[in-house]
Amino acid sequence: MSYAIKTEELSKRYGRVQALNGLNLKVPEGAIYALVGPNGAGKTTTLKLLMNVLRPTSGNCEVLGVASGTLGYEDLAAIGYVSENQDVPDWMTGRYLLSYLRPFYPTWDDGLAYEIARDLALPLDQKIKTLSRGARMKLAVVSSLTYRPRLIVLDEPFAGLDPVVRDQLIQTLLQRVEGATVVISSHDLHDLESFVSHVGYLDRGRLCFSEEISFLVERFREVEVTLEATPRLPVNWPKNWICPESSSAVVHFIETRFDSESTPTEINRCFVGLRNVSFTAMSLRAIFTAVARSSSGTA
Amino acid sequence: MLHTLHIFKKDSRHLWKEILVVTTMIAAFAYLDARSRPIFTAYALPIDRLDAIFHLLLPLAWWYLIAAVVHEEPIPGDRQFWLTRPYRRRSLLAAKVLFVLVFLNLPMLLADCAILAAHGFQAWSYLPGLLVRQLLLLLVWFLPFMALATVTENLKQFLLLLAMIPVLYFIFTFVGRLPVFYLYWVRGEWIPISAMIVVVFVGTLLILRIQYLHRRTTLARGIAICAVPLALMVPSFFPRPTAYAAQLALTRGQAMPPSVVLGLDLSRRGGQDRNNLVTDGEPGAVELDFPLRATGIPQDLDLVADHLAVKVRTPEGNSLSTAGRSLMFSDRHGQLWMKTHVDERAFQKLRGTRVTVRTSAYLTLLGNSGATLIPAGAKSVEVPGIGRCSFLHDNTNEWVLFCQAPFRQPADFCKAILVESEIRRFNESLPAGGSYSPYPAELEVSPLVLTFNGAYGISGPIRDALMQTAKPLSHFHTDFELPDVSLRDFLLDKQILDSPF
Repeated sequence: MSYAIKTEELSKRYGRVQALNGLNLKVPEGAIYALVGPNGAGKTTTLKLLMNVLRPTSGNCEVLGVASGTLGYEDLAAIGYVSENQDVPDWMTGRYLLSYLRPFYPTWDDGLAYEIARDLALPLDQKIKTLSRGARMKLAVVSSLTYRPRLIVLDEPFAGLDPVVRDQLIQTLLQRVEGATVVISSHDLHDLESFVSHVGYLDRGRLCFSEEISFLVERFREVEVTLEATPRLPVNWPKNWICPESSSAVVHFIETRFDSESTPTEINRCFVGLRNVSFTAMSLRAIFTAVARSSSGTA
Repeated sequence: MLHTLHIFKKDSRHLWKEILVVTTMIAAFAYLDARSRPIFTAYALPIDRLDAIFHLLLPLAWWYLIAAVVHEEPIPGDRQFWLTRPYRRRSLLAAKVLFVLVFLNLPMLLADCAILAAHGFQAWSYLPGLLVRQLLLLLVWFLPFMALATVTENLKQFLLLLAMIPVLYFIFTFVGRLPVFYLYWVRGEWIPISAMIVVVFVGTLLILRIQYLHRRTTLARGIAICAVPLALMVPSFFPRPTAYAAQLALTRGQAMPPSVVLGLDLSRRGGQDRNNLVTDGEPGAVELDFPLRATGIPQDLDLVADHLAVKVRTPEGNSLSTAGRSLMFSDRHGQLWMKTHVDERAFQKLRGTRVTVRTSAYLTLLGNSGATLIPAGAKSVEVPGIGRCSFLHDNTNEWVLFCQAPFRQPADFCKAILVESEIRRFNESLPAGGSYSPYPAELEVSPLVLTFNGAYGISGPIRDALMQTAKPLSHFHTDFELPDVSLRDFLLDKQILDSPF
């Protein structure tokens, strides 16, 4: 399998703060990859390291087969980067920004630019500084899609947007990416779960997991164990069972490596006086909430 | 090239107001400089003062525009849109340099032509000067400040950094008690100044390369922190004997070195017997004046000393360096003197002792003399080798004689003699001008260089001024000794002898 993005032990430190700690990330080509995690998890830092905006403290990262530190203008011409916190020349109008960017991209398609702008109802003749947050984000998306990039990196693209604009942008992205790899960071999975193919969870600079959504949903189960008496949690509690809770004769936990054969066997081995066991599939949101609780130590 | 022009067009479009302001300032500077005269007397006209103010304001305007164009795509930081766009870094740098060439160098070139024409100089006759001046403007006045702008994120940071330069200069010169330097291109001073230009150029090149090609702001800031003080210190600390040895090496073979022999003139006495000399005190030091005799100087040629290193050697073999700068000059009667300073405590110890004074001298022979009469009240009289001179009466009883030339101090030396009463510039017969610089231009803000100036408070009638000129013919080095002398015999201020030391 070839990867659009590959990092090895990627770390970034800002003074005493370890923003990213030994990140090993692989994003397959053609994937729509959601990089999620709470605020301050290191998502933006990761994307900036990938784009060679920041220099890593240690480790390596590759984008489209090129080491990020050596990304040249030919490589950047195949990458679209949209970020909520990028300083654009806001004295320009949208139209001027598009005409200014055109010569930098050999594959720039003016027709496509204006088509997407029309679809998004983007006012191109207004100065960027007078545009709303949503319109600015639309312009950033237009200016990053119209040269048909092979990789599109979006850093919190939907933060602070109203649902209508968010849906417009998502629809535009899905229609226009045509086989490109998309990496989207967000602290809210709700924005992404309907259309991403892969997901990675970053917390305090560490990647907790990174896989296809279908596998993820398959391996997480909410488990309810009913016992004959008040439970005593097993001493050797398996590491893949997270967020344990118990009340009277019931124990709840999340199985992170669910297997229809081995998981019931393991439960039988761990609990005495078992009366009933139930497994419930989890939504992505529930999975992330559980992982977040687990990694923050609240569970 | 396409990207360069594209970025340049974008910058020009956005910064049109700033460009307009700076171009207007350059035009105003040209207007004022074309009409004013050098400001060196208390009786300057308002236009002269305004012109002098513009000499200070114009660089600030240049630097403001430079910072503005660099900050269109700031280098430090991680939020700039251009970092993730396929900018060719070399094109970006080239676009910024092109901007400077078009909106600073080109207007300055036109301003130079206008200023020169207004002062009676045909600009195109000075084409090498015109071009080299633009190059020096670019290398010393523009690009270094572009480099400084690349290590800052915005104008506020840039202005703070800019303010640090005079602060550093103040610290070095006043608090650090280091010699104050002026970029005064006389004699061989072009060599220390060239060293400074090299430091500035190398620093600039490194910073621009690091920032535009590698974006390593911390490293670039480190280089700036080292390069700025170093550049400020080089002109003061560059060893003058090295400079004049280099000058000698560069001009060796141009003329046969003369067999000049210098020694003590035993027929004259030292110290207060010297004739009407102006003294320049060295704090904590006493002035000694040695009457000298020079033989072997070809007829009709004059001798000037470019640099003297004087040491006093005691009978015990100890060597004592003199303080400050030593000078050699002729008084108004043509008598040759060497003036030097010795630490007062050391003098008191040695005053009764017979010592040997050893001097290493870098000298220049002057010849091919000329003279031009400048009538009183005349404006812009051409003096070959010196420039255009004016001899004007101020609104008080002050006669002002000044000369200007395009771009650089002339190679020729000059001195003025006022008919009716002989008065020479400043230090009596020390001639003015005389630059050995091979460059056709210097680093002034104005294209006009003041090559001579004198203000004479004379109430009597003045007819003319005679401007005498001479060309430097050959440089040479000689060592000479004044053996078995007593320093007290050459003391300027004999009262020192009564001091309690």
